[in-house]
Amino acid sequence: MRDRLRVVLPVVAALAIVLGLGWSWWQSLVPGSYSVMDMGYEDLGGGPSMGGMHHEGVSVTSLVADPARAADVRVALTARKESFRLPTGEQVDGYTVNGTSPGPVIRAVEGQLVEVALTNANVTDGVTLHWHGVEVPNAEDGVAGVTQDAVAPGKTYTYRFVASRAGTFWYHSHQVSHTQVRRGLLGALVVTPRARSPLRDVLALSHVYGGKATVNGHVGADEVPARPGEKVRVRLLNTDNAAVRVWVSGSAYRLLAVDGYDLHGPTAVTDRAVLVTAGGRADLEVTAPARVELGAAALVVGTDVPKGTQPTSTLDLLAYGTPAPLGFDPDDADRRFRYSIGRRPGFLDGKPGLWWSINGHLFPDVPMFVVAEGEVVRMTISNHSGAAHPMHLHGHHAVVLSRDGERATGSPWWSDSIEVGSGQTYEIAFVADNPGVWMDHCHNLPHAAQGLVAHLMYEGVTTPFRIGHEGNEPE
Amino acid sequence: MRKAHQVLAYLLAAEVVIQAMAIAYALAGLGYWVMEEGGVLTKQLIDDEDLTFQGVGGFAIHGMNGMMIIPLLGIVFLVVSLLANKQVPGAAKRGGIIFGLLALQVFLGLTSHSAVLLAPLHALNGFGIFTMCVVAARKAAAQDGEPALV
Repeated sequence: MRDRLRVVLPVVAALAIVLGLGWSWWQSLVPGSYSVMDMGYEDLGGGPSMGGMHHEGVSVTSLVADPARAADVRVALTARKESFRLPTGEQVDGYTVNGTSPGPVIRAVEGQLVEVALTNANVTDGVTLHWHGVEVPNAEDGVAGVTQDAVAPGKTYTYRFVASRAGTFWYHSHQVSHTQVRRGLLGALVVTPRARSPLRDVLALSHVYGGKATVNGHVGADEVPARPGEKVRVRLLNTDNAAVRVWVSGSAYRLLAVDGYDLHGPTAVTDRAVLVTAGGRADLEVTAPARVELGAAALVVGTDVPKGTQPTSTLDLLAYGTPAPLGFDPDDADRRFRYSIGRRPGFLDGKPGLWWSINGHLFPDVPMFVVAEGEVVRMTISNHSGAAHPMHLHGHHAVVLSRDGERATGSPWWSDSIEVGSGQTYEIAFVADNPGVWMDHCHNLPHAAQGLVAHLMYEGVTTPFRIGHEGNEPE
Repeated sequence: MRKAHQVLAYLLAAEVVIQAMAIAYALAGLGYWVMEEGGVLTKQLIDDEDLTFQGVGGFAIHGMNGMMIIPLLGIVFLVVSLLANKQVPGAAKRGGIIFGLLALQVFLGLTSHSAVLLAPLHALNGFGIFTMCVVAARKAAAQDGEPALV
């Protein structure tokens, strides 16, 4: 009997393992085309249920800017897959917008209606444009398979939105984004305030092309002229997949804005670096001559100055600047969500591996955060995955309440791209004031393609678009 | 099953060696790039697939092997070990131990990104896996030609 058990038990165990794995593999398969409305499970965050309204309601296509209003800024952009040269001469095989990458800078004044006609010249996968950090109406969000179909070669698609907030933003493709963005389908969007600023404006768009770090497309360093003693607003944009530590040689700096929101009461900083999240922006006021270091590249403002040593400490935005009213009470939240990022073995659409998990689940079985318009939402984002994740919520800015239990005491820190380091926990809050279906994902774009993507879903909103249909592949 | 058990055990041992060689190659290449060629490494560049220096492929091999191929081999080995238990006494036990060590290895490898002190344990456990695999393979080989013990 014992001998028989010694043979039978292992065989039963082996069978159990094989069957378990087979079941898990089968469960993980994602249909060829699907609606995000059917993806994962509803997470009500302690709020009321949307009660059977699942596939009924207002279509995202109707959530647009006033169609009767004429555009103030009109731009035509053409996306093309081609080999191109950076301003410093390096050859890159990638994507351009109007023949260059980064694409042209779109400039608007706060309150203007921006109309952008995007034409796809030859990108066989299709393209879209997402307006990163801009609270556009949902139909203009540019997510293939969620708010539109990818724009096929030879076709044109027009985006219209009011640039309601002055700040530094950017645009990039949200179709096969982990490839298209990395290879250059992007550009800056600068919205200036109605009142003219005394500071001159310069851009420092950081992007890695073919393994080479660049600023404004320049490998090594880009230079902008400035008179000695002149104060300049440097708009830093991190368009890469990872955070960059920025520091300034030759000048103290003030951090004027983060992710398009001005900070309140910014003070001079000399001995600290600023961490700019992947996808995030930071506006620095520097005095020429200065050298702004962005990782392995730099922006020289005025005459070049010697490169200083990298500060060991980083500016803590929890305690920078002075407090100001938020305009809502985060303690009176209608919904409280948990966005816990882990990593575990399993199958992602049939492919075995160690995949990112959200609240313990693997894509596509991830939470769909349900909200109703006007609600105050709190979200606790924690990261147990062993890697940092720059978390980006579309269509909204959230205010950071605390990190690892330490409460924010400085200027309100509004953000659309939050660097959640491994082992960290952030508590954020926002007002659900922009109805639609909004992605809430990691902006290390390969991570999103590996399933680190969820959605914020407004009650009574539905989308006719499908991922996998018409070639839609948003990540 | 006995033969499959033996071959897989040797294969896993060989994989441990490949892992050590790949990461040594990658780190030496990185060192050369930074120290001799003036390369600057930032997180942005680490997360760019196009970063190139001699040895950079070692990181990719170590990661792919360690997070996909070895765990898959480990599962197959566990199943085969259970089925080989009839012909090779103790095969199931050793298969289970090796699988456990492999799971620990993946955990240590990933966790050492944020808890650096775990990296030496990752290396030490690698030697443990190698040894256990060789022992399992040799025990299986020792059963060759002997009547099955039932």
